[in-house]
Amino acid sequence: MMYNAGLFQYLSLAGVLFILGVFGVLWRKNAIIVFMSIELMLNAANLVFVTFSRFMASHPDGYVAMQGHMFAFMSMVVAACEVAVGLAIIVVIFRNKKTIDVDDMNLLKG
Amino acid sequence: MISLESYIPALAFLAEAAADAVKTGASEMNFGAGDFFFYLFAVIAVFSAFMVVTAESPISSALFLVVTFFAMAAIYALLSAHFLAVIQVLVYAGAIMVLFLFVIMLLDLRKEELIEKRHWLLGAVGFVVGIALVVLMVASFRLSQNVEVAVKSGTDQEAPDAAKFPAIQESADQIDGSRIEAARFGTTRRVSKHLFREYLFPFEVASLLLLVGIIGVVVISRRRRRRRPPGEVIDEEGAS
Amino acid sequence: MTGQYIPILCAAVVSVGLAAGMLLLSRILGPRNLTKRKTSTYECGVEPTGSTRERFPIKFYIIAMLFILFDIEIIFMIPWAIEFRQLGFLGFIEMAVFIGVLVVGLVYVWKKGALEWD
Repeated sequence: MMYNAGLFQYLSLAGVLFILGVFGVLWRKNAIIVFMSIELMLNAANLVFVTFSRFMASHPDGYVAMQGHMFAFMSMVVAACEVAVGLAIIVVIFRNKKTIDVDDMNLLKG
Repeated sequence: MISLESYIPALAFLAEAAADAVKTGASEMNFGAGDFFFYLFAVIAVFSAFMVVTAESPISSALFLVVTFFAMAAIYALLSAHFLAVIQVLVYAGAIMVLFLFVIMLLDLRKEELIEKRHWLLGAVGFVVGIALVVLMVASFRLSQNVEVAVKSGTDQEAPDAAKFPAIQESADQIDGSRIEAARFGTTRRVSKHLFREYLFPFEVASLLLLVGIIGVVVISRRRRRRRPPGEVIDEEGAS
Repeated sequence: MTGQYIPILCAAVVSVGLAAGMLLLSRILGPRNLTKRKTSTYECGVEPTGSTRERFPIKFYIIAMLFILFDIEIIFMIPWAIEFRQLGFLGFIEMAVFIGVLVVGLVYVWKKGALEWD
């Protein structure tokens, strides 16, 4: 049944979310929205982990293990830290430059 | 190695899958509740993710991102990742989005800054890059299967007709639900068994990561009274 | 297992339905004759001054940020608390080390004065 929600469908969903994230990172100039797009991509990656973990468990040769879940959990923890520090950096940049346009952040450009 | 040629079978596979889907038709569908909810939440997630990227104001972007996170949590629940579904709501929709909204309120953005986007061509490049990444994922997946088959048959050539994805035809709630339930797959108990035994080291390292995060935030965003020139009022008590 | 989510689904449907229904009904049934005065922001009856999007002091941000990091700590404690008896003394030591490291962070924040309001 091609329409049933199988591995292919879940991976496609993750792929579409990832594409939208890449699109946002490249298209938007507002640093906060760029950051949100990065969160979207992280979520898509987590979805791939969880999907493989689940379908591995239901595959006849697979074993019921949860490595994918642990990985997704750890990546959520890392994402929380990353958001906290990253947003602090955005706030400091706004304080110094009065803008959060990513095209204006070119101090380190050689 | 994944070379450019491996894109071609992947594209062929995608075309074949699409043709299959069209041929099968609605009459032969064996649609379960799990499938229905998957498509419902997938559509919600994709739509709100699209709105996140295209919305003009960061506030509506952030609120659509909350919707995306809730839909993702529902999809985790469909994949019987019960603990992760709860954590998704608590961490992402609860904590991270609060911080995003805080920062959006914290920064006082001018109107013209909100609507500024890049040239549409760059967006198109983003789309193409994203699609290329997905095709690469499909290609590597197929390729790894081919390798497996080749190893089994003792040749280093690619097997002529490698099988399709495993379990691609079944839906998540149709296969082997009992086995998953017997193993308490995805429950908090199971997670804690793994977390405090096998994954003890990552668990302790996570505490160091949180420590670094705490220190980093305080160092970065604490106000420095001495070095600020007079007349700058960014973090003075402006709100009444 | 997935059937356990039916109450959550019901709650979600009811809450979304109620909110949408209220908005829709008030839009359909309520008479609307808007004037400039009526649509302006309500600010205790005084003429609105300045933008609605007032800037927050950064102190709120530091508090919110520390909330996130300690929130993650609590999330690590949920599975620990559930399996507390099975994990035994070793689990207690593990969690003590975890919390100990974070208490170092708390002490740092405290000493730096980031928790003081003024």
